[in-house]
Amino acid sequence: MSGRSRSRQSSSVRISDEQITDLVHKLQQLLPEIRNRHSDKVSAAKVLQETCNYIRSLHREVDDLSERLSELLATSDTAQAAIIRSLLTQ
Amino acid sequence: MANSKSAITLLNSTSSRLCFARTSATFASAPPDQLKRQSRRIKMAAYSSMARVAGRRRAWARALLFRLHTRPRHKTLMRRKRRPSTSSDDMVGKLRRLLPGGETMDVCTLLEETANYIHCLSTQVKVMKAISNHHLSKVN
Repeated sequence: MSGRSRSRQSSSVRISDEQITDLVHKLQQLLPEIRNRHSDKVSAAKVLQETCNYIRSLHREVDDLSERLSELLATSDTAQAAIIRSLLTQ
Repeated sequence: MANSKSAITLLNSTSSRLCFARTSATFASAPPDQLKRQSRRIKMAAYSSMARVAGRRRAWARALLFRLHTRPRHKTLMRRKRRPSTSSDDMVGKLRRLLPGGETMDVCTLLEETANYIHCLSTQVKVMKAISNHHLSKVN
């Protein structure tokens, strides 16, 4: 199975402007910086710019959190299982 | 809700992977380079569990898993050498380079996969924050 080509995309080879606008709008809803702005006032380029910025900031956050977690795990020897269990039952 | 279900799965997956990352490191006071290695291992575990939860149907998840499994360990994960970009204002191009597997996608797929990637990535960040906050509250 090659999941690369999806049936619903192969049926519509031509990409309409409407489709793009719709997807850009969906993307805008996910960006905290411009989520609440009216979509007419935000250009597609701005949405893409903000998307890139947001992804970069999330990558940085994962970096920082990985560091923080590695320090936390190194400094404490408390039962890991208990923490995970309590996290999962919350 | 599918969202909360996937968040729980993600949490579960991340926790067990963190557990694994931890057991494969030494326990005693860790020197800086060991901390670095440990943090990289945690990062790999985080991205890997995120991609696994997203599933093989997602192009970015396949690309990410492929990259995680084939990338030489000494290279920095998720970061590439910056090529001198000829079209600096090409936003789609920038997005392509940021999204795992983005180079080969058509624009529609790129936007759709990006939306899903952002969703998963922000959930992953929340999960990691929750784990570290919880850990902190236990320690203090």
